Amino acid sequence: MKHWFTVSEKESEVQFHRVSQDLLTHNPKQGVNYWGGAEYPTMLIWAGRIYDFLRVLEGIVGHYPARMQSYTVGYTSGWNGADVGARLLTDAPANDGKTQLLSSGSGILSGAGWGRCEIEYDDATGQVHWIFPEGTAIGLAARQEGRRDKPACPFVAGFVAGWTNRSLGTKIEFQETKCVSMGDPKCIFESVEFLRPRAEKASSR
Amino acid sequence: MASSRTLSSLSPPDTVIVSPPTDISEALRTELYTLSKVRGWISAAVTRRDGLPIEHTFKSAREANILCAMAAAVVGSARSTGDHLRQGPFTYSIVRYVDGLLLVMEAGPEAILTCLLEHDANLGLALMKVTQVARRIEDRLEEL
Repeated sequence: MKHWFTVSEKESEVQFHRVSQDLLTHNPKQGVNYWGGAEYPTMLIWAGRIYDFLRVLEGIVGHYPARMQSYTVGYTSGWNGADVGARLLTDAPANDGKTQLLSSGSGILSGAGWGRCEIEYDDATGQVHWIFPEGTAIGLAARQEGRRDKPACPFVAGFVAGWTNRSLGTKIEFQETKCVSMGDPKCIFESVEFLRPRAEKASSR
Repeated sequence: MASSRTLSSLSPPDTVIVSPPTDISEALRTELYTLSKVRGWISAAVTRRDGLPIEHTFKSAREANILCAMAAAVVGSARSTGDHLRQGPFTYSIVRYVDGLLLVMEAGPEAILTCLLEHDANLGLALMKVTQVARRIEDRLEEL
């Protein structure tokens, strides 16, 4: 069975008020925010700074190791986000709440300002796509710095992987197949069984 | 098609590392264990370009995960340095510790082979063997 979850522009507004206002509490003594009752300190950060982590690392160790480091950090963020999100589900859970938790990711991301997204999930094949029709915030920030030849959002790829795996109880990885920083009209993240990244040019033998 | 292996209640680091398809895993395991004939051999691992382990002979997956991430960073930074200094393609890296030797070598465009040896291992012999195995790994991966 194929599932499709989306957030309209109007729903994105509603999610913004819920996620970025109602669920956010401020600890005035610390000057620190907390989200959704979780113990993790939460703060606003420019999307371009997340991109900078990738860009700086790429300059040192090259794209693929930098991608994996960024992906891993995003993964933990997505996993923990889904963990907290599971406590916020109020409707009667269907399908053990797995699909419901997965679907809640789109509202959380748009409400938190990461980008309005759609999630396609085929429970027969296990295939999952996260599609950002207008791009992710990080992709849009990267685009402002010039066109890239490799995707700018491994952090988001890791995030959606963490959210998906925590929600569905799976162990799949995600690849950025379209990215606005590369000139694509949208950002797309697709589940893959096992990525096989290749170096730009083969080493001499 | 994405696999849907069910997880128990694992933490994020346990689940971020996905397992390779069985055919790749088995092919590379065979190649890795041929290195065990090198005197002073301790362990070896094959990693993806991004540092995610494909196959290893370490007793601890955690050790292999760390080594693979570092091996990818070593190759990546060595390639970047070589490009900046116009020194041509990367061939291999040797790290000598007080207690051991670490060899890191590309195994074609997809993989990196890294081998941990005792400090008194015959480096020349080890390099020759690791080079041979790296070539075979490259060929095996091209077939799969």
